[in-house]
Amino acid sequence: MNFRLLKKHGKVYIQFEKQQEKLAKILWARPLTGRWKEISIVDEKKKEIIFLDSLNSIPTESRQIAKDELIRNYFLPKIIKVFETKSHRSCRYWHVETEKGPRKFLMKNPNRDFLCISQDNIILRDHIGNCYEIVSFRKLDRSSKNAINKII
Amino acid sequence: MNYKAYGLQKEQVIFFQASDLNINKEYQTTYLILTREHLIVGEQHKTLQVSLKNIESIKIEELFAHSCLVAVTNEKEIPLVYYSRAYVSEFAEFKKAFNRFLATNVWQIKQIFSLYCPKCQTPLLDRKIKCSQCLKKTHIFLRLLALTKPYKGKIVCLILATVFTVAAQMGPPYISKLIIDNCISGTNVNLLHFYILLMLGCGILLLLSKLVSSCLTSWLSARLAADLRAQLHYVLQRVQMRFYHHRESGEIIGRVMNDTGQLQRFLINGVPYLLVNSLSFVAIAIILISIDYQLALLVCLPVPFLIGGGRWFWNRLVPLFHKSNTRISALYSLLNESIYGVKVVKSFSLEKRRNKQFKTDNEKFFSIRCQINYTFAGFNETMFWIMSLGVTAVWLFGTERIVAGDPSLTLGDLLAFIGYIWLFYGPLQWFTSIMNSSTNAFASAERIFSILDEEQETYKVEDNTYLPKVQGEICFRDVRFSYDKGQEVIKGISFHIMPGEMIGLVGKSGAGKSTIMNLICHLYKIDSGQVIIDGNDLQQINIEQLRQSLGIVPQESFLFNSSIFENIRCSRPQASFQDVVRAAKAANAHDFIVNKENGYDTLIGEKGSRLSGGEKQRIAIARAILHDPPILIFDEATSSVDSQTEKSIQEAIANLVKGRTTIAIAHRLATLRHASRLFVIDDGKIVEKGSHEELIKTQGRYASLVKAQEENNQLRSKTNFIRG
Ligand SMILES: Nc1ncnc2c1ncn2[C@@H]1O[C@H](COP(=O)(O)OP(=O)(O)OP(=O)(O)O)[C@@H](O)[C@H]1O
Ligand SMILES: [Mg+2]
Repeated sequence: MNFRLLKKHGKVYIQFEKQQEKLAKILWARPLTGRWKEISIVDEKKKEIIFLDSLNSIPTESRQIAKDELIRNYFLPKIIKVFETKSHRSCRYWHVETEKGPRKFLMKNPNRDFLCISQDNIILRDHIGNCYEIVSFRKLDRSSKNAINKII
Repeated sequence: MNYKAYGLQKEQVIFFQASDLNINKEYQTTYLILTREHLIVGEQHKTLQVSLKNIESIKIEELFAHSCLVAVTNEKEIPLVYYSRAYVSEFAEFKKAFNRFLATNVWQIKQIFSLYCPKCQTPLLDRKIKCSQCLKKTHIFLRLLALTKPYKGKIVCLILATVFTVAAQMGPPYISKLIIDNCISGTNVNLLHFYILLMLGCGILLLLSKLVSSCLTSWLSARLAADLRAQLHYVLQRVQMRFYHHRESGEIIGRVMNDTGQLQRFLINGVPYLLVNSLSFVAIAIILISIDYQLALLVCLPVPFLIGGGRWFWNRLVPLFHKSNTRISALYSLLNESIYGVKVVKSFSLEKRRNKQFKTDNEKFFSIRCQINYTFAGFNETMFWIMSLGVTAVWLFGTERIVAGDPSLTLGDLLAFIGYIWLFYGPLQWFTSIMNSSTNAFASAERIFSILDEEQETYKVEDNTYLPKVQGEICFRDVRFSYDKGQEVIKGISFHIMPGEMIGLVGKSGAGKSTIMNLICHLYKIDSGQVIIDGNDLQQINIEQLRQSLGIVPQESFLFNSSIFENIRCSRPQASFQDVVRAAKAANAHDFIVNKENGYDTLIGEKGSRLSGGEKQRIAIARAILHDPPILIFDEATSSVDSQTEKSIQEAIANLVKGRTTIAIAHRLATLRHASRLFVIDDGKIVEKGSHEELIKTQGRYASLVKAQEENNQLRSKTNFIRG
C-alpha cells in the first residue's frame, strides 16, 4: 500500500505511486464506538479507495494530515463538568461545561442516546444529533457524577 | 446584535444569522451579517469580511455533527462560519436565499423557528413547540378540564356528592364531643338517642355520597381515557411521516396505552381525594379554631414540616419516575423485537445473548422500582411520625389544661380535637403523595398533548383543490428533499411524465428511488422545488383524493392480520367478491389462494407471517389492481417471485397499465424493457433518461448495468448447467 496524502488549498488528496492524485475524504468507520481505530478513505463519489485498521499504518507525514483532517471534521466536544441535569416530560435536560465552552442540550431517549463505549467512556447524543463525549466518568467531579446519576 | 461593533449602521444590514460556533469551533454566538456589499462574520467584533463581488455562490459542507458554510470564490473556497446541528435549518434557508440574492439581487428568506426557547434558552424538543419548562401546570390542567366539557352535568353531580361526603365526615367527631359533654359529663341522657340517630344519619349520607362519587369518577375517568385514546389514534394516522422516524413503535404505543392509563388512574384516585381533602382541610381548620385556637395553633406546628418534607421527597421522586419509565420502555422494545424478530433470533441462535440483555435491563428496572418504593416508604413513615408528634403534643397540653381546671376546654373538646387531627393531617399527607401521581399524570397528559399537537397532514377540503379527475400527469421541478435536515437524498430532480406513460426507475440501491415514490404520494414535504400533478402543485391537492388516485405496491408491503379477502379488498371497501377475484387473477394470486384450505378466508397472520414472500407481494399487487387508480406505482413489486410467475404478473400488469401512468422500480432490468422511458437515478439525481433502445445506444450507465446483469445471468445458467 504505497500511497501518500497531501493537502492543497485546504483539500486532501490521495496519491498512489506515480498515479494521478485524487480528491479524498477521510472517515472513521466507527465514529462513536471506535474512534482512533479503523478509517476509510473515500473518493469524491463516496467510493472507498482504501480501508485501514488504524492511522499507524500510514507514513508519518500523511498520518499528520489524516489526523488533522479527522479532528477538523469530527466535532465531539469533551464534557468537563456537568452543572445541572433535569428530567422533564421524559426528556433529559443537560447543562454542561465542555472544552469548547458551556452548552445546554436535550436528550430524548437515554436508552438510545447515552452510549457507554466502555465502563468509563461515554458518548451523549442530543435530540438533533450533536454528540458529546465524557472521556472518563470516574475522573469527573462528584457533583457532576451525582447530576448524571440523578437522571440516568 | 451590536451593529456598531462591526462598524455598521442598522440600515446597512440586510440580514443577519446567528450561529452557535465560532471559527475555532468553540461555543460562542457568532453572527453572519449580510450587507449590500459584504458578507461579514464576527463574534463580538468583525473577524472576516468577504466582498459579495468575489463570491460566486455559497455552499454547505456537511461534517460530523456540525457543518460549515463555505463561500466559493473564483480562486478558492473560504469557510465562513461553523454551526452545530441546532442551526441546520437556519443555514439551509440562508444558503438558498443568499444564492437567489446573488442571482436576482432580491432578498427573501423564509422564517425559521428557533430550536431554543426565546424566554429561557432551553433547547426545545421541536421547532414551533412551546417550551415545556415555561409551560405551566395550570395550562395542562385547563386543557384536561376542557376535555370534560361534554360531561358538565356529571361533573356538577360529582362536586355535590363531594360536598356531602365532606359534611358527613365532619359530623361524627363533633357529635361524639356533644355526647361526652352533654350525656356523659352533663348526665343529660335524654339527648343520647337523638345524637345516635344523627350519627347514623351521617353514616348513611357518607355511604350514599361516596357511592355516587366513586361511580361518577370511575365513569368519567374511563370516559376521558377512552376519548383520549381515540383522539390519539386519529392523530397518529394523520401525522406527517417524519413523526415516525425518530420514535420507536414501543414508545408510541406506550403513550397511547400507558399514558392514558396513568392519567385515568390519577383521575379515578387522585382527583376525588384532592377534592374531598381540600374541602375537609378547610372545614376542619375552621372547626378546630372555633373549638380552641391555642390547641389549633399547636396542631399547625408540624404543618410546615409535612409540606416541606413532601416537597423534598417529591423532588427526589420525579427523576426516579422518569428513570423507571425509560427502563421499562427499554424492556418493551426488547420484548417487542424478541417477538417480531423471533425467526432471526432463532436462526442465528441469539437466544442466550438476548436473554442476557433482557435480564440486565430487567434488573435495572427492578432496582429503580425498589428505589422508588423505598423512597416512598421512607416518606410515608416519616410523615406519620411527624403527625403523631402533633397528636402527642395535643394530648399533653390538652390534658394539662383540663386537669388544671381550665373551664374553656372540656373533655369532649379534647377528644373531638384528637378525632379531627387525624382527619386534618390525613389530607396533608395525601397532598404530598398525590403530588407524585399528579406530576406523573401531568407528565402523561403533556406527552399525550404533545402528540395531539403534532403537525398533521392537511386534509381540509376547502383549502385544497379538488381535481375533477386525476389524469396522471406527473411533473417534478428541481425537487430537493432530505429525511434529516442537511443530508439531501434527492438532489434536484426534474422530469415530466405524460398521462399513460410507463416509466421505469433504475439505479443502485440507496439511490433514492423509493424516496421519489414517497414524494409522489405526498408522504413527505419537499425541501424545495415543485411536484406537480395534472398542473396542480401537490401542496394544493387534497391529500385524500391524491392518494385515492394512486395505486402503490410498496417495497415492503404491509398486510393486516385478517383474511386474504379483507386484505385485498381494503383498497376498495365496497368492491364485490367478484371484483376481488378478478384482481387476484390479474395478479396471478388466485390459484394459490383457492388452493389454500380456507381459500379467500385464509387468515394470514401478523404482518402476513403465514404467507411466503412472493405470495405477500402478489396480494399487495392484487390490492393495488383492485384499487383501479389512474396512477400505478410498483416498487420492486415482483422481486420475490420466480421468473415464470414474474412474467405472468408482468403480462397482467402490461394489460392493466394501458391508459394509466405507471412508475415501476425494478432491479431486474429485463422487467422494465417495455417501459416507454427509463430514468436512471444515481445519488439523488437523474443521470440518464430515455427508452431502453436509446439508452443502450448511448452506452452510458444503463447499458453497463444491463450488460453486467446479462453476464451475471449467463454465469448463473452456466453454473446451473455444471451442477445439473
Ligand atoms: N426514513 C429515512 N430516514 C433517513 N434516511 C432515509 C430514510 N429512508 C431512506 N433513507 C436514505 O435515503 C436514501 C435513499 O433511500 P431509498 O429508499 O429512496 O433508496 P432506493 O433507491 O429505493 O434503494 P433500494 O433500491 O435499495 O430500495 C438512502 O441512502 C437511505 O439510507
Ligand atoms: Mg427502494
